[in-house]
Amino acid sequence: MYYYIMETAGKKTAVWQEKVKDILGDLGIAGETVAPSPARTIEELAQLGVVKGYNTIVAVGSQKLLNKVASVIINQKENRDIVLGFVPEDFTGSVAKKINVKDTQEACLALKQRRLETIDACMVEPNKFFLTEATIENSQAVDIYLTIDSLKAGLPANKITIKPGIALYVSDFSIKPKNKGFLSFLFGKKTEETSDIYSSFFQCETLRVDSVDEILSIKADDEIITKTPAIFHNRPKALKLIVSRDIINSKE
Amino acid sequence: MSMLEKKSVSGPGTIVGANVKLVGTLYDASEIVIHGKIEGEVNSDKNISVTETAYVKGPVNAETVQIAGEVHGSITATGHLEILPTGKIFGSITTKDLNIRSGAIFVGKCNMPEGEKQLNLDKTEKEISQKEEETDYEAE
Repeated sequence: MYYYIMETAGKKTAVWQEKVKDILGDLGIAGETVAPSPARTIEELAQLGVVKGYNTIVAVGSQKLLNKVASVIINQKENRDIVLGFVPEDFTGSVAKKINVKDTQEACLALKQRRLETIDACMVEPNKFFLTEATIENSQAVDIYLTIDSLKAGLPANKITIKPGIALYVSDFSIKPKNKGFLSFLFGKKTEETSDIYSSFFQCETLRVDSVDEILSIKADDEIITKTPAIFHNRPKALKLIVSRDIINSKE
Repeated sequence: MSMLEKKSVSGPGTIVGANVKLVGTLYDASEIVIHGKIEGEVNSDKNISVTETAYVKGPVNAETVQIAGEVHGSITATGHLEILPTGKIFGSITTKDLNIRSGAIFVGKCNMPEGEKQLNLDKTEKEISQKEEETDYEAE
């Protein structure tokens, strides 16, 4: 049985949510549908779904909602295989691309076909998880100290992106020339893009981010999930996610 | 799990930006590109590229190594080692295929185990042929 968690609906979202419910009904996979209210948060609703014994919990809406539901499922101490489904509101997001769905109909059909893929998640201490990416952004470059597994690194940066895996991208845009010359635009000189020596990329299992001068917010899908200092851990194969059948076919 | 213990990772490898200062052992199964400063060991199963802006203080080990920056430490390349005109190496190098470009600075000892093996082989072959010639001469 399916348990659907939808976001609090605005006018536009309400129409879309009704459409989703209709499609799910037509496909014969309608289940209990809940939405957060002042009385119950998304996390509480997800927890309720787990307690009620649902094996498939579906987030219907944004990636922010998905991360919150995923956190609850991964944090379950019971050794029960709860599967996460996702009907994205925005199909340009990274998870929509990961599950390979292009519209609402496809996303709902994928739920019915139930092809599962075990995916990595990234944990932020103490107990938050995200499946998308976390970013630290600042208009000016600030001194950041990173502990990448056993490595210690110090660098000025104004954008840090952390993806499950853990893949870490660090950029300092303040050093790069802001305006391309007119001639280089005309003649297509690509020296600025190709000689980006101020960006870094690392892969690790554990990452600690410290900032000295100011406390920086770390956001995942426009929501602050923690602040510096923060510790991230890779959680390989943390969750089973329903993906499109096409994604399996293309891999085969 | 430390970077040293990290299992083979298929991916784009590691890039150390020019404004980064790293301390510790850096390992990646894929390629490593260094633009910044590293104090510690750098190991890769594939390629390591030390670019013009880079400074490495510590041993560098990989299959293929390309040096355009400054390295203070030993370099071991199981395959090919190339020192570009801007490259500066202060330490011993071990490789089987070496290319030092004009303008590069190399202060240290160079070991070429494959070359030594070849030299020993050549010596043995020469000794054998000399002995054979001597035996033929005595027989005549």
